[in-house]
Amino acid sequence: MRPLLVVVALLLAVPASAAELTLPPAWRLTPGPTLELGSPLDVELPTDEQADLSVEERRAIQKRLKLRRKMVDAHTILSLISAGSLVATDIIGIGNLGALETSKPRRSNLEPGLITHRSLALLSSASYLGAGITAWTMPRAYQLQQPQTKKGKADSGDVHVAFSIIHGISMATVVATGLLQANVVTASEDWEHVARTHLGAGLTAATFVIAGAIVIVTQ
Amino acid sequence: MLRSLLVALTLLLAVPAHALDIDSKDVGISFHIAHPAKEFDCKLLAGGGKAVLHMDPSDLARTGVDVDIQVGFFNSDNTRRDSHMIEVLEGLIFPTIVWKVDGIGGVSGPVTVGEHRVTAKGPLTVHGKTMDVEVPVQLTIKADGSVEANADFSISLEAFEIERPTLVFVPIEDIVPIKVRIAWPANPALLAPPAPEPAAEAPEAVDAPAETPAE
Repeated sequence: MRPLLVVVALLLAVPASAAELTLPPAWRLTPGPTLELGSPLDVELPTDEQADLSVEERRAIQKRLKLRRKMVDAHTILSLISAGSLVATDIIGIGNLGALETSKPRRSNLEPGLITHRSLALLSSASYLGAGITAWTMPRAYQLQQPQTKKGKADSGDVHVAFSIIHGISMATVVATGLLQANVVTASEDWEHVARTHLGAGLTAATFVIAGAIVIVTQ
Repeated sequence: MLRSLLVALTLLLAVPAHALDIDSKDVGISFHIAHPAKEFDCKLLAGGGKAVLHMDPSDLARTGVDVDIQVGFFNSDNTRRDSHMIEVLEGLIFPTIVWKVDGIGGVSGPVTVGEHRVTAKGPLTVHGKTMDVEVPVQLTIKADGSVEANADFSISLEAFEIERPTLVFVPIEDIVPIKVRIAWPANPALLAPPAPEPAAEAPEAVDAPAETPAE
């Protein structure tokens, strides 16, 4: 119970702290580059100072880009685990919900299904959290040239980030409603409402995690 | 002193007498990236390249070109992907791609208007690694002396020691097709007929009668 609460707390805490992590000082202070609508927050734009970088500074940026790539790989692995386990959790959860509503099988015989659902939920939450942390903390992408792409045009990375906001909210909701279902509204009239919200949030989270992967791979 | 003079003389003699240097920033380069999941083109943004054409009007075969390309000016309309490209090209450590065409084959004789299919030969430096390449080029010389070069060729990323980027752990194709288009502005001197050799003595003949009265 306690680890689950910690996971929920971390999930809810990530978006706020991540926003601070993402905004680099250059983003606020540099007047040089013109930022476009749809410019991703995790892209470091060139500044006047960066035009005259020393060899050491260039090597340092290069090193950061290498680290970024390794973290992208870690993010990919964790995201794939998360996507797979989310789908499995959803399938088992839908089965459990159907069983509870129809009493086939009876609640007393449903324990293995519930344990499987909770185990998968734990795996998906943990891998999702890991994927989120790697995404938020990885060094920003780097652009050497001034942006000259069409204004307002979002690329696959921007869409991926937009999807992450949707599945982030869904994941926070699915964990919160899951905990409520299991511990707070177990026998009350609200249980069904919470269960429906839990189901909807779970399906939304899985859909947008997968969509986030698809948009990166295909666009 | 004598040695410096000799070096200077050698250099002077090495440059063709009538060679013209023409600068251009109208450099268009694009390359195609292929991955099992997707394909896309990457283009050089305006201002990312410059090319100096060295052309001897009396001998097209002595043409040379120095092309400098800024790695950071390649754009695939995806900022994170471009950042990834800078990373694998080590664009901060090797910021320029240099192609030094030091001779062309398949043509001879003076520069003439028309289309010439030639082979450009010379070292190409990418990612700090230099390799000699031979590239078929279509050279179009117009009546106003403007020149346009178009070339389609491919390079191997691994030959230039470039680690192939991956998408979901699958690397992109090693062979990258490249399209090059460079246009140089009009330069009538390129097509000017060579000055007749004995012409230098002509003014003396003209001046000769003028000297007579002075005598």
